[in-house]
Amino acid sequence: MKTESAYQCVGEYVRIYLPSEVDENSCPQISHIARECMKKQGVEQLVFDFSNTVFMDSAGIGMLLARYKEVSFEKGKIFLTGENERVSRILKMSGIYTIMPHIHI
Amino acid sequence: MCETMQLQVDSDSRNISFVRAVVAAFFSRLDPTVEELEDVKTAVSEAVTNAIIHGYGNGPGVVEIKCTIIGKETSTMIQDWGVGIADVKKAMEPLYTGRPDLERSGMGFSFMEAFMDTVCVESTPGRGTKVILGKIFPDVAEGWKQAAASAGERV
Repeated sequence: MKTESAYQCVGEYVRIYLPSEVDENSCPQISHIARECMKKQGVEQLVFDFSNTVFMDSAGIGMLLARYKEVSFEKGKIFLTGENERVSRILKMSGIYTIMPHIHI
Repeated sequence: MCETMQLQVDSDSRNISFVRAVVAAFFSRLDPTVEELEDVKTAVSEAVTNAIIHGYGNGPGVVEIKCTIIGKETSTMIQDWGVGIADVKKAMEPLYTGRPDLERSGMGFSFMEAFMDTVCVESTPGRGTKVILGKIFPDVAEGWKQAAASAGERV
């Protein structure tokens, strides 16, 4: 299983490609990449791309919430894309969609 | 008839995915739906993560997982011999986390309760914690009967 995450900077937003499993093991690296991306000049928005993600537990929710706190402090926004049905259910259950909307991009 | 499986892993976050896969493989003999299996995997992932992060504070230790099948009832016990929980009721409160210094959602127990039929926590400070997750998988035969009935076929 792929455990590495990659990202792509597109103008004012950064698209972070999440790994196939977002859990306690993969979250630290995702956080690190997200924080590095936010440091880049001109970045205002984070887009988390779940297209490759088949599993996520509450560790992923914790990671997203921590990013939300950091990004909001910088007046930025976070969007989510590519979620499958299962991941979407987890996000809905934890109320994440109320602060990070789904986007088709 | 009772079927069991026991697994011991090091307290290492790289083992969480492995435990999910093993538990799912063990319960697959009950022919669960994809959703039922994902529910169990998620709940087990939460409990094992708690053992590593909270039980052992990300330090060394052993996490034991025991799965049992009796008929259509399953039970998964996740045990650690770590710090234990002083106030189980508080620990299980939604959004509460014992490690606010980390990036935690505090939703681990909430997820376990959402995805399993029963969640039982036994803990002694200084001795360790046992989390027992119960789930009933409906009969395979029942599932087929229901599917056939809704398709309008006579069974």
